[in-house]
Amino acid sequence: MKLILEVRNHEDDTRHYSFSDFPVRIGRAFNNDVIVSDPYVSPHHLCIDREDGAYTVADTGSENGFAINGEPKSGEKAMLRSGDKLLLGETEIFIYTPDHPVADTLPLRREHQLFGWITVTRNVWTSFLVALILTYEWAWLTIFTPDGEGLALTTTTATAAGIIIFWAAAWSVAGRLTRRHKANFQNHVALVSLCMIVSRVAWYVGSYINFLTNDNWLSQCITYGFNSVLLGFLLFGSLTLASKMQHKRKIAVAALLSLGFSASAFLFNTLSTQKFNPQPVYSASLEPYLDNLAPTQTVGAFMTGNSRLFATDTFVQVTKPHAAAQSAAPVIPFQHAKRK
Amino acid sequence: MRPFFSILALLAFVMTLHPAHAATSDEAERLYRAYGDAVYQVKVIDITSEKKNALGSGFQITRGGLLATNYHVVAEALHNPARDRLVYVSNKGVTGTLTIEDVDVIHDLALVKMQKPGKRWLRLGTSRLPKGTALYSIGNPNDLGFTIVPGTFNGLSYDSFTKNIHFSGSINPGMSGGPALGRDGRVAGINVETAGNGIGFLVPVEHLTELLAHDRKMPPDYDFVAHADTHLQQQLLASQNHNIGELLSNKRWESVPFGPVRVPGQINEALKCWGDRNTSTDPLDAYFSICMTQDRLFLYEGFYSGSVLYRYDYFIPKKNLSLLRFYNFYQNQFGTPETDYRNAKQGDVTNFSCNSSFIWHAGFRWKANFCIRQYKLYPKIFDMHLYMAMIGAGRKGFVVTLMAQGVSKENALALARRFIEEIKPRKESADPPPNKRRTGGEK
Repeated sequence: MKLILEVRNHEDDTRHYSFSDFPVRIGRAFNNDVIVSDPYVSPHHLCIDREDGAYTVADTGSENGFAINGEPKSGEKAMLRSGDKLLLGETEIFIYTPDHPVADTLPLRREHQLFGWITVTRNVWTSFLVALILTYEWAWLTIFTPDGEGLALTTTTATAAGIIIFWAAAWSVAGRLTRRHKANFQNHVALVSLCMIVSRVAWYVGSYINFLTNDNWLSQCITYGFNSVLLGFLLFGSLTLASKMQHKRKIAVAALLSLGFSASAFLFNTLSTQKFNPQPVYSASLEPYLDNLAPTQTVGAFMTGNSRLFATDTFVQVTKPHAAAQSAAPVIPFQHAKRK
Repeated sequence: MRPFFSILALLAFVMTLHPAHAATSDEAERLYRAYGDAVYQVKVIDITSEKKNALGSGFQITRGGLLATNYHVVAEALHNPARDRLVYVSNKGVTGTLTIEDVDVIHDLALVKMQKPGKRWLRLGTSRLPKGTALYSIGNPNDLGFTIVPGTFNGLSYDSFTKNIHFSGSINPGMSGGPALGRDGRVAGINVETAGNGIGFLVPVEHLTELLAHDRKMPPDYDFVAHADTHLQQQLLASQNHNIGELLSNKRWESVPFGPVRVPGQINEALKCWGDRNTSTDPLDAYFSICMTQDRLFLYEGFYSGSVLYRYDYFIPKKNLSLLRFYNFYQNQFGTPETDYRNAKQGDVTNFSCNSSFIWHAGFRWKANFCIRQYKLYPKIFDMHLYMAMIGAGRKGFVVTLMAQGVSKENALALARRFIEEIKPRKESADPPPNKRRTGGEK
């Protein structure tokens, strides 16, 4: 009967060994059956043996000892069962018999296709560049200084580049620290760049919707809904790249975080419109080029709409004279003398 | 010979000056001696702490003990009878409580009844006086004691719907509600406000005569305070009907060219108009023109009304901005109106509610917003805000603002409609139908 050893180093690189001759010696020295290049592993660390059809493991004079399924062992001989995990230094060794069941095959998901696209170096840096160009465009649109905007535009664009790099770096480091696998730095750069591009395009669409519909509420709902989806996608993508979380759990975490964030922002915004505001709030969006699409009314139709405004529930409707006005004394109008 | 003439000239100068000066002070002394007893200090007392929280003056005008003062002196006691009460103090230290009998919120007048009538009262005269007539204002400035201030009548002020007497003399806080007497001892006006530097304003006494007549028509024992809101709403409605009616009844509004269109100019003498440009560091050069009344109708603490304002802002890009950039800055301007609606605070009015639309007018497409808010105590009264931005005119922006505070639904709509209709194309030509390409734009 064969015994399979799955060796996973601290970088999550996995190797499989298969043995039918025992004992199997494990250590850093080159005369071992399994050579583990881990500085925390002793030259002759462990020995796996078979006794009467059962497998045992024994420490062969290691410095740091070992653990089975998280339980530290030292010196004594211990029984092994298929599926057990040995930890020596920073290296994990899983012990399997050939008949050990494996997990079900995962269906190939669409996410993998997008994540394939963003692993291509050319795509990564193209999207990064486009994101920076759009940031430059945004800065150019909004920043004005009479004696040239060059410095301000460069600063803004550099800041955007910094944010992308920082975001990608933070996820890479987090991924490496928590799950001990590849950093996927480039993929993170591409992902966040793509999200920046989409959000900029969406901003234009939202502005034109606000402009043409004159409806702050509608465009606000669209903005919040869209940004919520975009944030969810970004989180989902980042989790995919940085963790080995299950598909369903990733969706749940991404959805929960993005919805929670957007819902609280939306709630805050809605509640603040309920508060007293001395200034009028109206659709102030003005856009060029597509003004011919604006549905125009006649002044008369506009005034009809205005008169309907008085009848809305926002205002107290005065249909009958006030109760106070029907009191004993009628309100006697003033006789204003005309002065010249 | 020369020194002699000099001394003679000096003597002549002193002689011409001295008698006049003596006459003024004698006059003031005589008037105060004769009529000072009819003037009282009015104190607003906080019921909880029993401390005064506002001071004014007042004067007795009937044998029965009716005291005239300013509405703004008694406003807090009128709106919060459970919190504030009114007392009077005579120049001899006699005190008693006051009850509010009637008010005229438009002209800032109030009639209050004394607990025990005084022995002296003033007779109401006229404010139709020649310019330069000497008037003597009596009151208790800053709680310093009763004071008589000489000054001159300088006609009526013409920068608001409410016309007050322009009085050249020092009226100070605390003198509000005190009388301004002519040499004959008759009341010509009621101290109401100061613009500083010896510029004061008096309410013409005719409004007090009207208020007295109004009060006499009311049944005795009428609880005015309980029905104050109804009376105030009625007065506000009548006043805005009069003011807005005056604007609308003018069939020929002055029409002036401004930017790409013709707009209403000074349409009433109550409006003062001026214009300026803002060409600082902003991306757009802004040319603007404003017309407004100086009305600041006091309703109660922190709540004013009655002003009408319209302004036009014409924006041209400073540099060769692209259309996209121009519109970004234009939108920022449109999103932050210059008009200030802090004339009311939370609890006084509802939030603004707006109707937004595109209209085709005067040869241009406009984004038009019509916003109103309701007065909570006076539900027939609204503040109105009309705000229109020209679009599709190339790299040119034009914003029209019309604000009218304290107007009825009917007047808000009528004024807004008339105002829009008075915005006309620069060249008199028929409006092209909306489905045609825009005109008037420049690329």
